[in-house]
Amino acid sequence: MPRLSVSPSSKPNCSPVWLISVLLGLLAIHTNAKDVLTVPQQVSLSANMYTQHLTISWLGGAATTFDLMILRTELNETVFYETVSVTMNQVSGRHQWNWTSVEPLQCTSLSIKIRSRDGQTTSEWSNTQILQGSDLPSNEELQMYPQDRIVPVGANTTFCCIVEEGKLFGTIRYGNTVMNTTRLSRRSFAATVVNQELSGKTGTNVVCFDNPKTKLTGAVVFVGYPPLPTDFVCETRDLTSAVCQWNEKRDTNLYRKRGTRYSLNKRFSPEEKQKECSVAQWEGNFTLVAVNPLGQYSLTDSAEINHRVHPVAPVNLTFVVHAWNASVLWQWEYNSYSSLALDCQVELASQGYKTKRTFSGVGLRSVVLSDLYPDEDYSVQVCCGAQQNFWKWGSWSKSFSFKTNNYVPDAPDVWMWMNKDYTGQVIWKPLTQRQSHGLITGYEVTLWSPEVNFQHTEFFSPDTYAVPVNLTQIATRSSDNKVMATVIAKNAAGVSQPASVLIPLRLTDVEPLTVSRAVYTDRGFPLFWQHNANDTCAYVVEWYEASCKWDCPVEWIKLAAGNTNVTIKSANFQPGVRYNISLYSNSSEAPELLQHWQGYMQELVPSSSVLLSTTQQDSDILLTWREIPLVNRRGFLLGYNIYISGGSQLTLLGNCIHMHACFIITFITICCRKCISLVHMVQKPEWDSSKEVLVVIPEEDEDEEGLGIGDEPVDTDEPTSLRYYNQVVDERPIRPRFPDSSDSSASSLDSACTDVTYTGIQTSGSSLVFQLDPQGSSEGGGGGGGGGGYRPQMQSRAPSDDIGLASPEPFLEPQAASAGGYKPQSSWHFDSPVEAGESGRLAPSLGSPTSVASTQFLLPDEEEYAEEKRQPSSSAATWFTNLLSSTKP
Amino acid sequence: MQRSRVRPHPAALCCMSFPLSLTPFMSSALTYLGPPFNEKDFSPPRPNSTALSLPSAATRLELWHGLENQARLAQNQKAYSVLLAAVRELARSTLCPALKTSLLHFCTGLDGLLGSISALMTTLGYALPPPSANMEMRPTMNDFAKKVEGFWILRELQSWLWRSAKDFNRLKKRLRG
Repeated sequence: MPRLSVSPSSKPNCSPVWLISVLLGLLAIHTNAKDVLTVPQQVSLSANMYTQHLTISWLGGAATTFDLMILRTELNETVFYETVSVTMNQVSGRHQWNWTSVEPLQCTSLSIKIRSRDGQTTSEWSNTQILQGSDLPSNEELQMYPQDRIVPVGANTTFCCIVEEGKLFGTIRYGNTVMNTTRLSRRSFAATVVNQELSGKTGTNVVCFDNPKTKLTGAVVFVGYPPLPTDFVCETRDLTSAVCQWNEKRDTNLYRKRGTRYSLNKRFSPEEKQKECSVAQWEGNFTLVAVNPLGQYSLTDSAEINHRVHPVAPVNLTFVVHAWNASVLWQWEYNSYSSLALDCQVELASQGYKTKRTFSGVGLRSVVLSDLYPDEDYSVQVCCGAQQNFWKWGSWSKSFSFKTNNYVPDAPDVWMWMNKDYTGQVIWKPLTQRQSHGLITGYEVTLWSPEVNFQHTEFFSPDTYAVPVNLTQIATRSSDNKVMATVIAKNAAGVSQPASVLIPLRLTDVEPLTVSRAVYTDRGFPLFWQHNANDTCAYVVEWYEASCKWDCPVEWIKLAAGNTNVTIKSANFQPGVRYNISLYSNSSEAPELLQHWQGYMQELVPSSSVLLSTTQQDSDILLTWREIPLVNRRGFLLGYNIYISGGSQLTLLGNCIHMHACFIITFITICCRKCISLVHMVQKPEWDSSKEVLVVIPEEDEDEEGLGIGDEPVDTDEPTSLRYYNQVVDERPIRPRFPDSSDSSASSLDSACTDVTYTGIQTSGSSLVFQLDPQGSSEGGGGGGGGGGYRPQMQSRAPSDDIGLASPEPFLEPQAASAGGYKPQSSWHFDSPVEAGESGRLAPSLGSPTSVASTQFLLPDEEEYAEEKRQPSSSAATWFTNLLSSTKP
Repeated sequence: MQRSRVRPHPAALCCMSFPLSLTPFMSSALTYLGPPFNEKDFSPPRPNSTALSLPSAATRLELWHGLENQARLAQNQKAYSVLLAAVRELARSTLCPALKTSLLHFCTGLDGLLGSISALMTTLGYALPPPSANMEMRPTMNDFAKKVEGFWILRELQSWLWRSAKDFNRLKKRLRG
């Protein structure tokens, strides 16, 4: 506000004469001015209660400077007192001054007076004009001001409460907050809220209570924001009119009658909530004005109509369907689209996958979808955009569905399985939905041999995938080595191309090839073979369970010529099952077996033990066992360990790398009381008996040389244990009596140790004690077994090395195996309860998770021993009894 | 309540069960008005607005019991017709969708109750009271006064529902007796 003041000259170096002259002049002017200063007359007041503006006007003569004083009438407190510069309105001849009150003008009466000023000279004060407040005694009610105020966030608002005549003021609450108040008059009290925060949707309540709380009154204030529209853009859908849209960057927090009103090119939008407005003709320039009680905001948008084409959705989609393609046709809502160059996207969905294809054309309304599959459900949606000055893709049409027509099936993938007696099966894979091209109605299978003029055709139901064949008669009549089997699939559209396989009649006569070992990886069995540059044949790789001998459920894969490797995968692969995998040539001739593998998906502990029996031949013991059935091996066997059981511990006599049916153990008994025995283990006599595969215990060497008898007591309860092991062999020490409390541990070995009094072999030297910690064995690879101890095979291995695995069943010595990189087994499995039970009956497990044990008494066998127990007078019985009495306390 | 000489239609008596309750949304309605309306001891003066131009439910018990059936039923009818219009207006003006739904649902129940009372009065041979004043003739009120009015509409409604529940039980017993 301008203020008049007298300030010293900015030129202090002026001459004193000049200064005196100026002062005299000013004095003269002042004297004259005082003479002309008039007292302001006809002071009038005009109040705007909502804005709290007070307009004061008066007749002030020639004066341009006035002192204005505003007082609260009742308490005579000055609210405003300033000198203001006001020019006279030339039309009305009046002076006017606007003042905004902090408090609502209703709060209390205000007294206003004015005087003219000319420098330090002032006129007399005008008559006082009073703006009457609502706190006059004649208005006795309890009141609060302002009412229904709308303010922006961060504003300060002063509220006043006029208490009822004769009552005492209590408090003013703003929301939940009790406010500090100041007294404006006898009945009026004010509270100022600063930096106001957003109110609730229904505003913030300001409530005034008297004291004591007998009555209350209040007001509601709405705190929000002025409008702030964004993203204002106009486009056309029909190529004529404009549709303009916008967003609000923030919620104004003001609704209904306080909400934002929008106008587009000065035409009001009907809906507050709708942020969209249409104009019948494209005007090129668009202005949006958003207004609410707190302010307004404008946005503009300018564009040519052909730069803002947002196509509508295609309608009335129809289809012309074929087996491998379909035409999609649609219509446009507006004729104007017929001349519009369009790019259209067609979204094609089938079997859970979506693809988009793009087409172009003027007024495009049909496209041909090629490369479809027969007998398949498709759904289609279309949307388009303007090809030139592309603005945005239009709306998607509704989704429509169609199904392609049927087509003749693909030829089935055919293979065969032949038993060794000219019987077998012709097998084919079920056609997938995309191979069937329609519902398969059946198969036609033909066997024919041109040489013997034989042809036989049969029809089979659509769920047939294997047909038994018996070629015995053809084989006897034909000198040719093959019979052709042809399979044709049928559906409603026709028959497939015939799929043939040549069945070799002499397949069973082919000498088995060397068997390589296939090692399973995460991806399957990787197989490799040599490619002969002269070979132009394709290949078939087949696999099946090695234990299967008859009409086996074989799986296969056909490979094109030139392939030298494949990784076979199957959901049917099971752990512990050996698979035969064969590579055949696949040409116009009968398939020829080229290579053969065997492998396990995962090797497991054998599921049964060997059946061990002994025969005494003088001082020799013949240990005999049979080969474990293939299905029970569950891994490649590496060999057998032979232990002698000595009560609480087992003593390793030796191991047999090769799978032999029996061993001969020779005992040379030195004495009867403390027996020193020589164990001489040889292979089966009819084989090369000079090969001794087991080494005798060191003491035996001494004994053999007659160097003396060991002092340690002889453990006489020592049946021999035979333990075979495979690649997952556990070389940790074995304690037969209490590996755990399972049923299988309650073994005949225990009872044998209790009952059998035979002693034949002194155990010493490499005695192995089973560790109590069952976990430690597999972890400590360098444990009791020495460097060649337990280090089982990993599940995943490098691909098979045909050179290294060329020999059939190429077993490795445990030591060699350890050096060769056996790694901790990824998992091992207990045998199934049934298998465990069987093992327990045959021979008990020795507690290893990776091996199975069999036991048998060296001398005598159980029946003989029982017989001898019944006849204690026999020499053998006496011998046992003596031994027992000497070793047991 | 005095015994009536006219036996009411059984169907009208069946309608005298009283399933209406404000409890489910009373709290959210008062919270919607903001503090201090949702405070337990808050009690603004009852305005004399059109929306509240209904018989008070706060009539002293002995006076109320001293009235005849017809008078009491007429007051019930008058009160609920005024309150129904007021609750509809509350629903229309509310900005909270969930509360609006609750209020409109309640209006349906009130409408049913009014129908039952009218049916009962007709059965008993009583004249129905004239329709309530038009709500659109309301004078302009400030926002705080509207909130106070809304508060009182809910409070009166609650009081009438309590009173009517007792009334109708008593009426039912006596008419059956």
